Amino acid sequence: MKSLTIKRWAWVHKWSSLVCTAFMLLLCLTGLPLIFHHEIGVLTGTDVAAPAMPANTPRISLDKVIETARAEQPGRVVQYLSQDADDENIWFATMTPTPAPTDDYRSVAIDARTGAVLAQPRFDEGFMWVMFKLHVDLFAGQPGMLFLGGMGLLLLVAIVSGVVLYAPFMRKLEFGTVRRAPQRNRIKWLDLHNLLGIVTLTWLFVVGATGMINTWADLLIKYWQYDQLTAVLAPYQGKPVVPVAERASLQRSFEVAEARVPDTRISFIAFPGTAYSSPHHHTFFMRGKEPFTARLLKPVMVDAKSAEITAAPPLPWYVTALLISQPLHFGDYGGMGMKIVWALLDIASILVLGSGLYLWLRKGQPAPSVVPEDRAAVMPAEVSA
Amino acid sequence: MSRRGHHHHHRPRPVAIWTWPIWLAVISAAGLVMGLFSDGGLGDAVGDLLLAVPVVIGLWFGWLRRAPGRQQRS
Repeated sequence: MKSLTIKRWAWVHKWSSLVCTAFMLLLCLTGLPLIFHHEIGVLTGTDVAAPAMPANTPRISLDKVIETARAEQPGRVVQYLSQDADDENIWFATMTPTPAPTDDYRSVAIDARTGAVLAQPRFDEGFMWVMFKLHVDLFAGQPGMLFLGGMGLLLLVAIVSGVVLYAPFMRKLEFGTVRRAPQRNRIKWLDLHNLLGIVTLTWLFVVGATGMINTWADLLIKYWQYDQLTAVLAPYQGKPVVPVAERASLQRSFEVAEARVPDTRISFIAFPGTAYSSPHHHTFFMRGKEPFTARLLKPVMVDAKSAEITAAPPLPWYVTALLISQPLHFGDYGGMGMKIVWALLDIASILVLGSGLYLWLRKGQPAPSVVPEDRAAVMPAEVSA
Repeated sequence: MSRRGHHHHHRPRPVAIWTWPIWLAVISAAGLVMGLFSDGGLGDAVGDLLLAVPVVIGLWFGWLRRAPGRQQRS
């Protein structure tokens, strides 16, 4: 590679990293406890569990479930009713002042068989909530989320440019060489930066890219609604959100939706007027039963008044991509082993970021004598100084 | 140049530079994908092992290779 080319890539690597490093360190640190949010919830007692009952215990009507939720949180509306991913016997009702998206919500966990209120866990306070908000949107809502997405894009640029620079750096070195000598701390960390950078490459690229895609979730859903639901909703134009009193039985609507897409189970129900539905529908998001299809959702829009199916639109490719991005970012699709590996790779990434910063801060140091000839090719960072 | 002993005089050729990174990338990607298509059991275990390979390689070359009691290599 020509030294001018290396210089340019080094410039790209330096600036893309410098701009995003502080935020990436924050994301790596806050992401670490989030990997184990389930285990932490169990330990701290915020995790909700349903009592054991025979497998074929009948379930109560969904109308009863939302009635209970409304009674627990008077003055609030049901936005979503979702089924615990690990336990089908628990419904979580998300209660908010209005159907509009908000951070002001309460959760009511209801036993699907007895209708008993199991807990009203607060997901909007405490250590894990702070970690979550810092990780997702820096407490700045949609703009904060998109900002972090932009930082994610810079991370991807830094990774690509880092890979390009790997070749000239390693031209004279065997894989995994770490040169250790007294007074040569910078060289040691340069080698470790290269080593850890190249071993975490695929994981960090995937986690970075899927994290960036996740920041576009709201925009993708909005575009989807605009793109595909406009025609479906044309007959309803100008009508207000269906009032609770005029809504058909939720249980019947659910049965109608279930019959439409056999071999699925419910993931969540979006109520009329919420971000994931229309003003005139209960939208049932069904998921498959296989490991992979369980990640994909099949929406069924059921008219909130008549309980008849209006549409069951197929997921467009970009929503499918979004849904597959989520597990690949969270690392929650394997078992405990995967979570531990996820955490170790996260720590390795922190070392890559930290060593990169260190190398930049210590750049003024005299060039090491370990690489006498053709310095430009071996020490691109020096060239860009 | 060679600080690693007389039998390391050769320099890695351009292709050789990428041998390890390409294998690591393939193994990591396989580990990431495998878990998506399995639910517990062998698939998940194999996926975890594949994904752990980069961690082990990083630890080995970065630190363990020169652990006390071993011959100093650098």
